Amino acid sequence: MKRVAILLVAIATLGACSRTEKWTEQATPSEGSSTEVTTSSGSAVPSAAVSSEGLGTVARVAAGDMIEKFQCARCHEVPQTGVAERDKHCFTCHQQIHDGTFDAKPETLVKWRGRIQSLRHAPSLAHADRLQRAWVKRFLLHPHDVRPGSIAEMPRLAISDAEADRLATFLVPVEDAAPIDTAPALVARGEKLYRDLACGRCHRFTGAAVDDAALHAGGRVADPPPPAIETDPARRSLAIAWTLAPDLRFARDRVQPAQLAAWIEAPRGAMPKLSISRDDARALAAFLVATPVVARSNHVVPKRLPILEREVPWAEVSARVFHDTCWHCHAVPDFAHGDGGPGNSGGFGFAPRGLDLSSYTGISQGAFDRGSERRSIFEKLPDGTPRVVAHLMARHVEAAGGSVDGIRGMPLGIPALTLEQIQLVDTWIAQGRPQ
Amino acid sequence: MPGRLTLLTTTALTLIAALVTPNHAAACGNADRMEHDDAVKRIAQIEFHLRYEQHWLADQALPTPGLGTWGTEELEDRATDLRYVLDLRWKKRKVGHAVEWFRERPRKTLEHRAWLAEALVENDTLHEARTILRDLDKRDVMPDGHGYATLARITQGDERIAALSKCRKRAVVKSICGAAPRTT
Repeated sequence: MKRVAILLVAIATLGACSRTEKWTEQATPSEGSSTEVTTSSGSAVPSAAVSSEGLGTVARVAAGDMIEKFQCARCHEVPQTGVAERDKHCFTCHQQIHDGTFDAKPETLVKWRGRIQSLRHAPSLAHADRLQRAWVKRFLLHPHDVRPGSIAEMPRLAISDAEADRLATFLVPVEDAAPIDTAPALVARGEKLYRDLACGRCHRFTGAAVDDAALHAGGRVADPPPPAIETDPARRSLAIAWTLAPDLRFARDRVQPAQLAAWIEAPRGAMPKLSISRDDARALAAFLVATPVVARSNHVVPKRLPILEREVPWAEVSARVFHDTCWHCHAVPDFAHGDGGPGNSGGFGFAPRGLDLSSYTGISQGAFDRGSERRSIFEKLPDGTPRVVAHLMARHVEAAGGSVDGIRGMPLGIPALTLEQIQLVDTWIAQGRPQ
Repeated sequence: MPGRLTLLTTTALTLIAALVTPNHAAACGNADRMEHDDAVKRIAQIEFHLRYEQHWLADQALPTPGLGTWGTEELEDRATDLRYVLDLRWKKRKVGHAVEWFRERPRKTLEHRAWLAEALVENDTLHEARTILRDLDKRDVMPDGHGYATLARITQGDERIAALSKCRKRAVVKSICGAAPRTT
């Protein structure tokens, strides 16, 4: 009897261990919980101020929990973390569909391939250690478009200041704040190299004199379709590099100065190797951090369009908005083994809201508020705007660099809906939501 | 010995819990399943027939509940929902079973509450049905026109007129809004 019990305990323990790789809700430190770590000398210091050598085991686990809580591995390659399983990963299915390896009929794959443009490639977090920790923290709290070639953007998470601090420290455990040489002659040589190497074919450098939108657009390399994708890996690498190339206006705040030249000389991740000398890499780095950059003009947040006079039926608003975009994250749990996507069953640190935007009955039933009660997504806010419309417009505010208190912009991590799409939703609601 | 039994029971339950955790779920909602999962496609088709009041077609596509032909517990429950809704709306039968099912069903949504109200009306339990539907209306979370059609049947005066108006807006087949009133 004792042997059986021991065996069962052992099997159960193994089962529990293997399950930690799956995306179950993990217990995470509560907001505002200890952000201090104990150094080897035993003194408590703020986590953001210590190097990796100073991070105790407990602090590392806590920061790793941030990776699990916000499910970074659903989009990114994350060091020391398993890759999310295919059906929980935001990009793998799309990549397989484009590669022709997804389990579906060939004609279905062709149809999907035409539709799927976003969520194809995401940067690896394995190389985030070259970034400036303060920038990473700011970016986690206030994400913005860094990669002009990518449709997908970093989503605005429900992350607290303390959590962003811990996560930034986990990703950038060590910082080298040493400045780099920006002598005018070096900067001038860097600019010449930038032009000669045609860096602008992959990178925008908005606000700088060298920025050339047309050159960048012309440099786009499309992913080869199957079967060419199998035989032309170089072209695919270039396609990924173009998609993920960051706008270099952010480089001076984003990358640790001492890491910049090293990265240009020997890039990791998606950027192709340039085969240039160390001195040339230093000149390019000097140019990137020292060339004048014009301040960004304030984006104007567009205004909602007026309600249409014609009737907007459910079929139209569903086809052009809810089914077209929202459905992918706000789906029917019953049709997917209980997982209705992050906007329904929870994910990326968001609690389950139970919002199903796939059907008329689904959308009519609203979403869970912070309690256990469902609340209409059409309820009018104090200014008379229906709540769902406020979320859609808030995405425009976020795209302009702002945010709306208490209203998260939707759709999350992809561009705002067009004003015409929002007008359809607005009109359909104003007309009493006809089916 | 009782201690050993407790340990064994706990261990066995832990083991079962570890084994029954779903290992497959869709991140991207159900976009791909709607295209090539036959069970999901079939359920969606039956729901379409019900939405358009095509009861005979829905009946043809629905096997007897409990046969386990849908592959997952969620789809099995969903098929059972549809069977009871169809029975209620088409043949007015198994009303008591429907009330019981929609009351006790795991993973209930507001649509199940609206269906429970429909079943309660057929079961002559109008007061409870009225309470449920008034609550859904007040919170503006009524799933569809059928809920308003049912509310119109069991209310009078301005409340009935308002329910009928919303029913005509939100029902796919407007004729459901003209069902005979039920009063007690």
